[in-house]
Amino acid sequence: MRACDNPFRSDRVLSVRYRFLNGDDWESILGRLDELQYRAAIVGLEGAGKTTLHEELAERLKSQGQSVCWLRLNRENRHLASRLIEQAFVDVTTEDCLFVDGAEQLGFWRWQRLKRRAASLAGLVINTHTPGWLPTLVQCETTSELLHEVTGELTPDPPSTALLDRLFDQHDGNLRLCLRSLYDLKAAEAEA
Amino acid sequence: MNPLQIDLSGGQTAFEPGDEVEMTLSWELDEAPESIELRLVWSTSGKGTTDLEVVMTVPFEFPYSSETRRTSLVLPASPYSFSGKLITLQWAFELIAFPSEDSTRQEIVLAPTGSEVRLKSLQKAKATD
Repeated sequence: MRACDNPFRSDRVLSVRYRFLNGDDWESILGRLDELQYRAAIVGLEGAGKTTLHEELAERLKSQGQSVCWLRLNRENRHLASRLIEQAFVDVTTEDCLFVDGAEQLGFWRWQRLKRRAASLAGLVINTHTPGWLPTLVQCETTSELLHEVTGELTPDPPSTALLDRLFDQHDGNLRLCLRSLYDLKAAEAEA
Repeated sequence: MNPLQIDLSGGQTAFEPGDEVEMTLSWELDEAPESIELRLVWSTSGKGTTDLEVVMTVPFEFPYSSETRRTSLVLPASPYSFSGKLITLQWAFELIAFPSEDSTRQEIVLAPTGSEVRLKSLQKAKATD
């Protein structure tokens, strides 16, 4: 199978939209964000959809005329965090919301400084693994049913329920890792 | 139907590095765009992050809302179109209208034999050696 024909290739996985559990919807999320004066955190473990939801939230706000400026942090660039923060504050204006992806990469003091500097901005919305950084806007969670649903969206020929449940357990609910495993399985299946 | 179209001369979609590609570009938009751009791009898809590079850009100034134009360009030497288990590299022409960003895409193959290079897994390659 050519990589571009694999139904679990990254560009297809990234096109999957965030699915709200617990009865939330965009109206309730945007209302809550407004109540929190645009200072809030999207919380969840790795592969729970935090960045997906964060990006969709940015699009929603942009479509309402709110400008958004991103600071993206990860394990690979965390040693550049100071420089990336400085760069973000060069670009950002008081009219903007600052969106921080991977806020857990900031240490306590760096986070406190960033929070203080962001006080004059229109908003500060972060995503992070643990609660307590800012009031929680959404707690992202995954279920094996969600994995079934996402898999069904990506391929008309989904793997068995037992396999999906096993992958979900094996990766501790990290959907990103589950979908990467499904990529490998599909490629191996085609090769065989 | 897409309001923008790319028709490659003779319907050919497989080329060798350095080939000259002739094409007819047409568009039928509701309003005259500010500009139209033809791009030659390659992109990757597969298990990892997607890379994309715009290799060549041909701008068309002051376009009418409906028009047909002919153009040609010479394809670069590399990278070749290839595909394996983990990654595929594809070439394409993209025609984009601004500011609406209406667009169309025509994929092509760029490789010495005119067909995509297929990468085998190491195990399979060893078995066939």
